[in-house]
Amino acid sequence: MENAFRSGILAVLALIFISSSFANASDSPFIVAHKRVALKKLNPIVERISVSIDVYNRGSATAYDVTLADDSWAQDVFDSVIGNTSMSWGRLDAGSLVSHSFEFESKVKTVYYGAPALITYRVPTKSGLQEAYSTPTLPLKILSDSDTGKKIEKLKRLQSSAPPAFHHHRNQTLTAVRSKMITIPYLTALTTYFSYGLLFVFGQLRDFFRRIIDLWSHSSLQGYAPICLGLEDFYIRRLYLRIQDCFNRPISSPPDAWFDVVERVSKDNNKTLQRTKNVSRCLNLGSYNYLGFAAADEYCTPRVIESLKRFSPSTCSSRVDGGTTTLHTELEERVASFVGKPAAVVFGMGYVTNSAILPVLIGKGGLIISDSLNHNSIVNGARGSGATVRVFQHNTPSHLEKVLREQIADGQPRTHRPWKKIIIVVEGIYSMEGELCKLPEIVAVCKKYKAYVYLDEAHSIGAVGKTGRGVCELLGVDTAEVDVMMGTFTKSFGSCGGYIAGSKELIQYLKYTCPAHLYATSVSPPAAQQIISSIKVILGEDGSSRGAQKLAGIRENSNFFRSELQKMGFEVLGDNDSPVMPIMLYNPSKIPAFSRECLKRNVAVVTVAFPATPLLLARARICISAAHTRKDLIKALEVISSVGDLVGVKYFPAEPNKQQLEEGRVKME
Amino acid sequence: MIGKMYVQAVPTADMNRNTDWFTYPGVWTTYILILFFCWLLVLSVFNCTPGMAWTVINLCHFVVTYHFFHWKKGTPFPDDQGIYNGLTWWEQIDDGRQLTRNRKFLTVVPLVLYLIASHTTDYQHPMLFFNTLAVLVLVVAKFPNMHKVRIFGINGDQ
Repeated sequence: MENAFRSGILAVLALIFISSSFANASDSPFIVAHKRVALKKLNPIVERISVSIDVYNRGSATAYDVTLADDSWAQDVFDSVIGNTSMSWGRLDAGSLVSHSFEFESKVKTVYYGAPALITYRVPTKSGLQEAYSTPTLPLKILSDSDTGKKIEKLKRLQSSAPPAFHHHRNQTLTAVRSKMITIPYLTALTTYFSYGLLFVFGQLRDFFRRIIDLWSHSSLQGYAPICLGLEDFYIRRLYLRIQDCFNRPISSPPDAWFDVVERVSKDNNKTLQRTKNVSRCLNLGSYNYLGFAAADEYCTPRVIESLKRFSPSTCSSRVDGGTTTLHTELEERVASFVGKPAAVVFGMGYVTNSAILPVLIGKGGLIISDSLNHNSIVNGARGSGATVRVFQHNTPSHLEKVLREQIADGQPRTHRPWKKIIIVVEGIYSMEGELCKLPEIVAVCKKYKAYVYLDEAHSIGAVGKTGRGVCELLGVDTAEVDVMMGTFTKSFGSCGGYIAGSKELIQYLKYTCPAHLYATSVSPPAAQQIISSIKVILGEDGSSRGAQKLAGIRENSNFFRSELQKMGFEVLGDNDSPVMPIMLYNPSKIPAFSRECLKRNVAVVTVAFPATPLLLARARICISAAHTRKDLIKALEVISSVGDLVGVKYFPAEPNKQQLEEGRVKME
Repeated sequence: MIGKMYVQAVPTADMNRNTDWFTYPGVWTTYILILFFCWLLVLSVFNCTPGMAWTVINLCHFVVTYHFFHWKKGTPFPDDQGIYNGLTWWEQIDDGRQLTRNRKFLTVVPLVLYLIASHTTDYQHPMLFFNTLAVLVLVVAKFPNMHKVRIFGINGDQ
């Protein structure tokens, strides 16, 4: 087993324990600033790996240990050639850098995975040695590409976020899932509250005068109750309508990397908008077009047109009546095998999948614990089910455990009887944060307390993971441990609809109870064919490597874009490898400014504000696609940078552009 | 210097979008700064004594906070399907839990305003009467025992 690594990019799993011997070192860890790994094939059997590490001391302690060890390797596989694999009591003055290099040869033919490196350090305090995690893990490429100066700055900044939680799993891919705390400049927080207060006051003033004026006018609807009682639509009338030209923009072409945005004009200060005949060709940074299937594809589109001719655009009935075609059964089998579960059922609409399945899975007397930032479809389904709904702090497994313990101990609300069923609902990638879910920890907590796990992979299926199979593959969670896996086809597959994958018994049960299966029209046949064809492309079954290229493309594009944005000084949320990156705007006036200025420069971004996000945390959300070329991304970066300067959203200091020459480094091939 | 200070926004478990903004950092400071700024505004516009300005601020604060915290019910957006339609903003914050830090702060602010207003007017009538009335109504409205209480059915559900 130890010899059976798959070929790919080079990596070494390095665990480096760096400790310092002074008691006040707990606030100032050593960090690994730079790491280079190189692989040389001396002959077909023997491979030599060189690892060189730069250690930077950003604290006050001066003594450290460095160890290169990995308890998942068989020790007899490698021979150390140059440099010991450990070093104790090295001395490093505060603020300086030291390099270590290790070289070892493998005795048998092995090939290495590409994986990020994990670095830990140990900090002794008076109460004993504590283990702490220093730099969050980053993919090897990011660590080895840029120069040391920038790396230090980047890592210092990442250091200030919460310590990363991570996990180590069977196929040796290590990813850091950080619960990133949103860092706001204090002055921005104050001005944001003040701006919202001012907007609120003006809205109330206008409402007040409108009510006085309406007293004088005669309404033809005397005696009827008003549709909205004064407060309910206040936000829409007084805040949203002022900037409604930034939302709901119509497009007149497929949402590919570049698309046509229809221009609109308003004669009454944004209360109503009229479409004009002009279109502008804009770069699309808002569509969930992760793998580039949104526009015509050379493999999928001819097959879709053929299905359209053979099956007609709609099945015109529900699944149980006459709406199950051979396409539907083939689609369900393919989805089940793609996701890694025994069986699957598909529905015509993604939102409906969540809101119609949750009431069927759980009812009164059950408990649903959902993440606080779950999508509206899950909230809707949970409310519609009649079960008790509790919320745990976003992506915090310790809080989930606390809530679970409390609820299990308390029991049902008034009777205190034990719960009939407990379902934990989490999402793979949270679309407003771009964050990955801490799935292994959450699954571990659920197994401990025997609760079911419901994973909504709307944004992550097809977009993350080595072969595109979603967060389970990326984070190394066995799909058998997640009880219900849900996803949609709108994002990565370029189609419409949603699916639920689970055990055969579960899917059979759903097929005769779920109202979306019994009464709603089934998936349109051309849409089903699009999903089948796109799955074939992703898996490489169409005979080309376009699928693998797309997956690699979206990963590289996301990592490149995110790191460039962070270097410019924007506050970008989300984990590495995630194609969704929100740029924080905060102030309500910056939302329309950013959106309109970008549109003037032919870049279309989606801005999100209250109430889809918390009040303070308005953001512009960028979705990267595999269809974006490097040229597109560079143009987008230039536009966003200039608009960011104009609007003033570069809340972090930008990194200086220093070039440092490094001699004697073995370049990574 | 103050522009370089950063705060961390801890994600809150409060589901009510109408009230979760009160759990983020900077709210208390903004509230106090708005009151101070309005006092300066009143002083410059009306050219009165500082004590009168504080009394004006106290009374306006009373009217505004009573209206928005204890009179208006529900939320200003339709997304939550009206589950808070019977609750005022004061009853919604912190999920209805009493005596939390936010509630204690909001109870102390009118008291401090009252002290400042009555001190700077030297406890003279008629300002003292109005100030005392304002602070009494506000503080009584914020008692834990007054949660969801509608006296004589005023402002109750139809």
